Formats: sequence, C-alpha cells, structure tokens
Amino acid sequence: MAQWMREYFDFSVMLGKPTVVFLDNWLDIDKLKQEMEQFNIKNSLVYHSYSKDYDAFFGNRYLIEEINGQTNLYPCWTLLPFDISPLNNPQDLYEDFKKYNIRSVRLFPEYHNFLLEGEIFSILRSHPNLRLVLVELTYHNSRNLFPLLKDYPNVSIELSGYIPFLGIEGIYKRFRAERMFFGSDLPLKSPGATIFYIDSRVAINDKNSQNSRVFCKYSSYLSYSYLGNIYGLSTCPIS
Amino acid sequence: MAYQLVQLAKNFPNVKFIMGHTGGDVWFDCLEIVKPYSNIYVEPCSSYADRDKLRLSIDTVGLERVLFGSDFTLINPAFVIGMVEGGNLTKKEKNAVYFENAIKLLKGGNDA
Repeated sequence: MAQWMREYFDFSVMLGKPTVVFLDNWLDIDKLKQEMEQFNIKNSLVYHSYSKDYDAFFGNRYLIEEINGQTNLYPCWTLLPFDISPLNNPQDLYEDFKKYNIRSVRLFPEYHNFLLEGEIFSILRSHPNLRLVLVELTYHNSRNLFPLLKDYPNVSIELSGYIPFLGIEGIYKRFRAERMFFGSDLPLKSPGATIFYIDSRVAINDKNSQNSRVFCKYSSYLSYSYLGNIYGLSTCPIS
Repeated sequence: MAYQLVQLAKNFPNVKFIMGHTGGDVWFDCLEIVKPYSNIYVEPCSSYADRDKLRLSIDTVGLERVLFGSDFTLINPAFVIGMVEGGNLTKKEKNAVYFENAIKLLKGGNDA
C-alpha cells in the first residue's frame, strides 16, 4: 500500500491460533507476511499464542520452530514465575536464551494470574539496563504513566493502545522518542491505525525526524537480562 | 443497548439514529442487530483498532450507513483515520465514509 512510506519494526505481534478466535483473526507465517508487506513492516517481534493460551514452555519452543528461517521475525518468549512454571529453571532458561538468541520476553501477569506490582519497581531500580516496555496501554493510563516514565528511565511504552489526543506529543516533549515503540498488536488490531497516528504526529511536530526512532527498523534493539524470576528487555544491538 | 436502539428506530422511523462506536466491544453483534433498520447509522470509532471493523460495517449495513467519527478530543483523530486507511476500502468507500455520507445525512438526503 503506497501510503505507508516509512519502514516499521512491529514490536507487538502474536503468531498462531489462539484459544478464542474472533472473526478468524489469527496469523500463520504466510498471513503475517501479507500483513507486513501491506503496511511496510520490515521486522516484527513475535510471541506465540500457544505460549500465552496453552503452555509457555511448549509455546516458546514451538515459536522457534515456526519462525525458523524467517530472518525478519524476532522471537519473544512468554515467561511465568518459576514457582508456577517448574519446568523452567533459571539456569536452563538462561542457556536457552543464548541457544535460541532470545532477546525479549513477554509477561502476562493478569492473564496468567500472578502479581507483578511492587516487585517490578525494585527490579527496575536494581537493574537499570533492563528495558521494560508496557503494552496494551489505554488513554486511561496517562495519569500513572507519566510519573512512571519520569521515575524509571528504563520504562518505555508500545503505542498500539496509547492513543489519546496529544499523547505522543506529551511523551515526546518530556521523554523523547526513545521511550516509544511502534506495535500493531496484530492480529487483533489494525496496524494502519497506529501507523497513521504516529506518522501524523511526526509530520506536525518533528521535521528533523528525531521521532522517526519510534518506528524505524532499528527501533527494537533488544537484549535480555537475567533477573531471578523475571526476564526483560535491555538495549543492545541485535547481532 | 442495540436492542433499545432498534426499538427506538422502529417507533420513530422518520428519525435517523447514529450508533456511536458501533456499539463498542460488541460491535460485530450490533451490526447484525441493526442491519435491517435503514434509519440506524453506525460510526466505528474506538480506542481499540479492531481489524476489519470498517470492512465488516460496510459489508453488513451498507456503505451509505457508515459514518466517520473520531472521538476527538479524547482520542487522536489520526488513529481512527488510520483504521479507515488500513481497512482495505476503495477510494469511493473512503470518500463516502469520511465525508459524503455525513453530508447526505445532515442535508436530509439518503432517506430511509
């Protein structure tokens, strides 16, 4: 589609058929490729529906098989706390990260019924190189989000849900583009909405293109840090 | 809410109704519920950019009954424009949704 002129790194994509499918919205590799081509998305960070809906251990490995050979897809594993996921002991997981080049993980504390509040703040303080990216935000989060971004420089946001009027501008003015990532939340959401939202803000506000770092193909340089019972993201070029 | 709106549409056939957000989270079901009532229009804006919402709205209730709404100033209008732009609509369909349908509606044309 001609209007999507910029190249994008999609930070939030679910691969595979989820337990509950709405309007046949799920992606195998071929469907994902079509979506990426349509919206000029050059790279995607993907997690697997099986790891969220069925079993994290199984789904994570299934993801590696599914995207094998797809150089523009980067794996994102789903993690659970070790005391409810005994198959994943920390050392084995760390070795798997190295073996499969896993540089990002995704947590679903609400969906998987574990608490993260409280603990996450001490982790962010004690591991300043850990990059935590908040996903599935809404405009309701603004009042808490800005203090969080101010107090924790290692916290960033993914933009598919954070769409209030002047939302991007507000974060850009205070915290710059490095704190924002483009994510589509495919296959549930339309990539066009977030892309057009970001692009329109860039055209108005940032002629020097500083904000292009929000969505350019190098925006998701990820690495991982071992944190005991939580893994997260930290900035480091993908080799 | 959709059934209440349908009741109103039946009771007041000469009044045109706009279903904001196409009913919200249950928009797909709402489309089917309001489909037979040509005096109910749908407006698909949302803080959640459901894939295929525009396409299915047009295919279900008809192009002339789909209006553009942004929820401005709560939501950035560009977000909903992006839903239209990324919704696999033809140029004719986009023009109708963005502008022409609203003009017809407000000028009294396009009678049910």
